[in-house]
Amino acid sequence: MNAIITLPNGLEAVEVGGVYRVLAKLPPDVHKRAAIPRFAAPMVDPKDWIEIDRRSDFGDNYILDQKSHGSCTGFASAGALMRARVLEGMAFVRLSGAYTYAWINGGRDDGAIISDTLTSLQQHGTCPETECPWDTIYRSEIPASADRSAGRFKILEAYRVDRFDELVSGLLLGFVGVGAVQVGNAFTDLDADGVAGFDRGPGNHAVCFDGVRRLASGEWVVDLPNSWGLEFGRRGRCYITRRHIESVEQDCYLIRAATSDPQDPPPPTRN
Amino acid sequence: MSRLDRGRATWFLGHIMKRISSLSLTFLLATTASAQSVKLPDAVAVAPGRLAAVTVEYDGDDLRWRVSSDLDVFREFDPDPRKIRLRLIGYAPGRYELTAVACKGGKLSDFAVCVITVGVPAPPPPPPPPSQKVAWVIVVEETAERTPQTARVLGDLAFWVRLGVPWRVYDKDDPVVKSNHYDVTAGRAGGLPAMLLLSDAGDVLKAIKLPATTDEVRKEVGR
Repeated sequence: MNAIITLPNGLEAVEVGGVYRVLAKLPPDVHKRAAIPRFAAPMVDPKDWIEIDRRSDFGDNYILDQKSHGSCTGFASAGALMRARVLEGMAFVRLSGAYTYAWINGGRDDGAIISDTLTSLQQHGTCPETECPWDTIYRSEIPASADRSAGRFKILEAYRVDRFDELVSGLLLGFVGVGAVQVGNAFTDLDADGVAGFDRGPGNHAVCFDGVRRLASGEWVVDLPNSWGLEFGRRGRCYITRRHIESVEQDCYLIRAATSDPQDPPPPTRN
Repeated sequence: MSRLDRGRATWFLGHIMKRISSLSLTFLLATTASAQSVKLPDAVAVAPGRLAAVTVEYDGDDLRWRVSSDLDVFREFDPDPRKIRLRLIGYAPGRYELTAVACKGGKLSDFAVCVITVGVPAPPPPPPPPSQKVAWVIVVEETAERTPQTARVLGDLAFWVRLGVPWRVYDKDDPVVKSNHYDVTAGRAGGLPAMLLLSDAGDVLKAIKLPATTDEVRKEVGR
């Protein structure tokens, strides 16, 4: 068990892979959340649910590492966007979570709101990680070239989900999610199925969701690629249950479409 | 010559010329040992008002032939008694027929038919395009209406990677869909989700509804 500690700024942190991971997903803003389109995709009947295993599609290269900053929101959304792009046929580009965090953290490393990542990724996009690495979390540190690059990597369409069944439906339709979990003393302890321990709370950590699995018990769980490097869980991943999702304050959205990269275009039709 | 002066032609050539729906000529010829036969070219094309030449070759005691009434026809001299040289004129574009049958020893040959096409010659068909390979697979969809069936096809990432052809999935609202004219081409596919197969130059090789399975996609792409 990795015990939670409280930092001087009041935020909590947990040690994973020799680094204290700050838990800095801030409570959702009701008004910002209301501005995100409501669940807007066909609902898949639970009796038609099937497993979606992205662990081989999105392997080690896709596991980001926010290290010691409270930038989980930025990293969760960057992880989701780079997966959505690949599912649309675009090349894999490891995107920067720090870039988005810099736009939405108000100039302080005290965390951010998940809904703000959607707004930022629709307005500004994010650049490749090479142009804005994990430790570049303030706008003053970011070069203009990164801003130009960020225009290539944006979210086109997304919608919010409030329930576990809506989240699973969206994942089954091939979309990628961003949402919250509560990380306490139990979370980092995975059971034999790879399911994270449950901690009660409003949600203090932003994560990405990209797959669905049915356990031997019949329970459906969601696949969670974390942003704490490969040291966490099983090569950076764990599963979470309906209870994990529905016990936190909802600030979850699904990316339905990424914008196309203007530097990697297919040809226009000629006839 | 846009139109033949039939009276002068008749005088000049010293042969009959008739505007008829049916012409018959009978020739009594020496009996030979070979079977009765008649031979015509399969087809002749001529511009309106111009002379077409058709030679009837036959083996037999007798020959009868007839031609569509809308054609004018006269016979030219030929020293070979087994040949009949005909000149025909049509004034209205259309398809006409010259039919002939020979008789020898009381037995008829098969009918021979020559199709006479009067009209502006059709341009030669364009050469077939060189065989083009599918260089891009473009899918245009309304993501808000994506079904589980569509998701099973589009979400099979391993399949698309193995397919070996670049592919893209576009929401219909992506600006590229309009700027690259994918919306117009998708309209020809019969609705969304549409699958467009493009050459590397952007030629649309096929535009169809997205198949229901990845196997069908593979067949369409030709892989």
